[in-house]
Amino acid sequence: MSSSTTPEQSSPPFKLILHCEDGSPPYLTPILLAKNFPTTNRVVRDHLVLGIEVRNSFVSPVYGPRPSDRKNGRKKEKDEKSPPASRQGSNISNNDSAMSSVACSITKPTGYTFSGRPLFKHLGIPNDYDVMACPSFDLIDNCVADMPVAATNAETSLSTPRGYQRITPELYRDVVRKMEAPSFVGLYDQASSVKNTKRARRSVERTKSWLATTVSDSVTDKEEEVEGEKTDPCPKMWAPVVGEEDMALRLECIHHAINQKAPLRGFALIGIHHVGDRQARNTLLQSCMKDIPRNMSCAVLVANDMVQILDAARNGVRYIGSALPTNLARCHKALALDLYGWRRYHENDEGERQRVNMCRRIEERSTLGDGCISLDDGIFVKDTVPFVKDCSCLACTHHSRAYVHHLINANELLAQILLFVHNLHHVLAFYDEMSQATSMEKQDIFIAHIEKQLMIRNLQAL
Amino acid sequence: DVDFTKRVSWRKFHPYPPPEDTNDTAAATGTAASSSSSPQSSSATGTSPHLPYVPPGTAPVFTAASPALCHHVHATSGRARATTVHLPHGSVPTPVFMPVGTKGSLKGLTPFEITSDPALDCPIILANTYHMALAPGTDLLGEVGGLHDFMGWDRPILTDSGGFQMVSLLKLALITEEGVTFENPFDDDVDNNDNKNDKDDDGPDAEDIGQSSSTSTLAAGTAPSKKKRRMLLRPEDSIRHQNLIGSDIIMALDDVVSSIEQDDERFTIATYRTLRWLDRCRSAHANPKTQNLFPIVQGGLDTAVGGLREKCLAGFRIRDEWVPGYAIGGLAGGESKDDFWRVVDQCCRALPDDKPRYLMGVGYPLDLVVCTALGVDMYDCVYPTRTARFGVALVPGEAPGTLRLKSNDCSGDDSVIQEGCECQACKNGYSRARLHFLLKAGNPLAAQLMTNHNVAYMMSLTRGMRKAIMEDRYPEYVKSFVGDQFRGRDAGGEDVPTWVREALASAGIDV
Repeated sequence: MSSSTTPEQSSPPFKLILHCEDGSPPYLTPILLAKNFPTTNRVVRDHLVLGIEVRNSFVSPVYGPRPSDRKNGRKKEKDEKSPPASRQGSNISNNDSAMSSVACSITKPTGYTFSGRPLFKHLGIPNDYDVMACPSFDLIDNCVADMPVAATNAETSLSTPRGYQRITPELYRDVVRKMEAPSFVGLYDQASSVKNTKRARRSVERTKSWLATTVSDSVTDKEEEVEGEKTDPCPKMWAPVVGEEDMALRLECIHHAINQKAPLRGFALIGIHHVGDRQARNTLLQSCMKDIPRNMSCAVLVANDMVQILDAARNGVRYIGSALPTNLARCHKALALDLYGWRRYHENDEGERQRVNMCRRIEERSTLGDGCISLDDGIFVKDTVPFVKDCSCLACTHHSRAYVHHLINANELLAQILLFVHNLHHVLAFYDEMSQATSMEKQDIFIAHIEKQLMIRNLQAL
Repeated sequence: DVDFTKRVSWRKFHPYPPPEDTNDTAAATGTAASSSSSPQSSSATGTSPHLPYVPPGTAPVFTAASPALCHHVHATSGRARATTVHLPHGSVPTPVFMPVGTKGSLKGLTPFEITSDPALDCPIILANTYHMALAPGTDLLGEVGGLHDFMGWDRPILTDSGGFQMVSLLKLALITEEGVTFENPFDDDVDNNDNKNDKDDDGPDAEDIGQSSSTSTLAAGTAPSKKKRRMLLRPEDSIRHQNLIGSDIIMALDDVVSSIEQDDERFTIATYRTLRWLDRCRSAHANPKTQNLFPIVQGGLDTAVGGLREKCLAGFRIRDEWVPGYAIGGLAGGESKDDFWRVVDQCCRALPDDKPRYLMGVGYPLDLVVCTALGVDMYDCVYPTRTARFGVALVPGEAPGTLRLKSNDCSGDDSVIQEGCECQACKNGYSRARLHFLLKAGNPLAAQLMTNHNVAYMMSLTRGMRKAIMEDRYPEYVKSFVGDQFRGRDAGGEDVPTWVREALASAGIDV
């Protein structure tokens, strides 16, 4: 068991790992990011982590003759269509057509690979934001056309904008090292959700074996590397935990990582959201959390809705990744939960206790509302009030439901921008309230308060 | 009484010659009503007085004659002017480019960014009456206090009258003396139930229009389908819509004809109809104290002495007393650049110098530089924002002055679009490679950043022009800009186009 301490030991707020599409916070130009979510804001500082995927942010073109041409020392016939060879560092997309000659265009890539570079500069993100990098938030979610994730013991495939590209643990280690990310999830293999036990077993074995490759380079800020300042080494790496619904496989991943006795930031639970049954998902989370050392954090990389976020939080997961603000914005929805009503509950009130108990019983229910209002609804045509009363986000302070309804009808991009800004603001406030409730030992009350609202399927009817 | 053997002009100041047409004594004297220090007219000697300058920062004075617009001219450099147009919602320094927010939104930019980003800081935007009438509807806008409140924009807005749609939606339009009947382009519900169509019909049937008097004008192509919903836009309707929108500057509904139309009779009809519609617009205008009605000069490409443009200008001259500013229309429709600049030149020579001049639908950076030299103050065009969404960035340098970010050349280019640019993309280090990647990925952030860059480029361009004018070095500015774009074939570039040379020569600038 690692003796390394983590920054979360003393004060563990809940943190949103915001899924950044293509490496950038969605819809947020630098000025919008600075204005609406500055790190000088306590809520942002305490609860926002930008999640970056290597698969779509650090893909780089390869120019020049393909390795197979150099090796064979021969020119290809013009009409030859043989598939390109695949080698580490020169992976070529299966979608690329074969070259017609060795002397290729210097401007047209001959293939794609992964290459690291300082991520803050490369992605245009200010370096005072917390960032977690990962190969992918979920390999299965990014599968193309239901094709299973192709992997061998030496490498796996990541779905990129340029097709599937193969990556070895060595290459991944090299990429994340050059990224200089504050933290990153180790490379993992992931079986599809189809219950193929052999495949699941292989994914665990590969994930375990790849862990060692990257864990040794996972400490940041060695004292001699920081000018004039002594800093405590902070583990950067999150150990991936795979195994889909198989509890034993998941625990095996956890125990293996612990036994490495290497500095780890925590454990990243992969694919929890694929467990459809809410009860089973909660049981899995509970079991994993029981075996994870208390001084280490746990992350769920993907939570698709508020219920999954609540379930993860209820089980002690502090880092919860989600694209919920983005996905809701694209569905023209604005989060409209009352985040503060839980503070009015009094435990001495019998009626309140009954309400809380009732909500605990409904935690097994899996079909709930989403806590949103749908701005494409015609009832908002003339509604000149903000999305949510007293919300201090840019959208609510400067615009109205009617305006965004119009933008949606007019198919204007501004609708999604404003909805996203509001939703992210709302989710961060949610995480903040959840953190405060937990620290006050009133997490049950908070969760019950939220779930009660999620039971209302049509919030805009209120 | 207009002497059409001579050029029409009025209220002209140095360096323009005094009006040739001496029928209008006010025009002949060329005196400025607002200044007491202007030199006396020297029309007898053939020279014009200097346009009275007002120091920048001078507070506007709205008068009974112009209760919603105050125009201050700060400096001139040749025929170029640096002015400030004071409007009810704010002041607009010129030369100015107005980004187009057709449906009440600049695509991909929040009002916050447009005002707070120093590289943008757009003083005025444009919205389109036709589209706003379709959605969300101007009645709604009237109920919520106007477009300013609706979209959260507190600076000036200019609205087009819907006239341009006569050209852009020509196949869906039927133009008569009464107005324009548009077929709703968004109405896919082709209902075969005639009863329902009659109920929804808010305009005359196409057959009735076709059988009416000779003043009717059928648009090229087929008449609007009886089965689709139609929208009748009369001058009164256009003004009513714009009154409800609450824009600072509203445009008169004009009879717009495509500049590449070959039918001279059509142009003649349109020119005189534009004057008649202007009177109807003025009569219908309910907010003259808070909204400025600009007429639009039409007349096709006929710049001959006594030609259609002159006819239109003469008509505006006799209405000048209540007109706060003028627009030049009927261009940017595919005509040759040679025809284009001659129309702009003629209109600037004719229109009064102490009122703002707005060139509609223009355009390309080079067009702005040339037309400012000719005396234009205001511009609008969808080009910068539209081309941004296609991944094309506006950049200084060789013609055409664009950079295609989707090109493979950019896929590995780690430099920013334009060094020294203060836009969100360049200032924050978004490389060409990064933007290339985002564009290829279809990430909306790419469109946002590209739009930000292109609008910033246009704002920088107009600010640069203004600064040069204020410092009385606009000819040098123009030469530098043109020389940068056209380095000559000997240098491996392009020669300065003939139309540019001739237009600038007319402005007294030798390139």
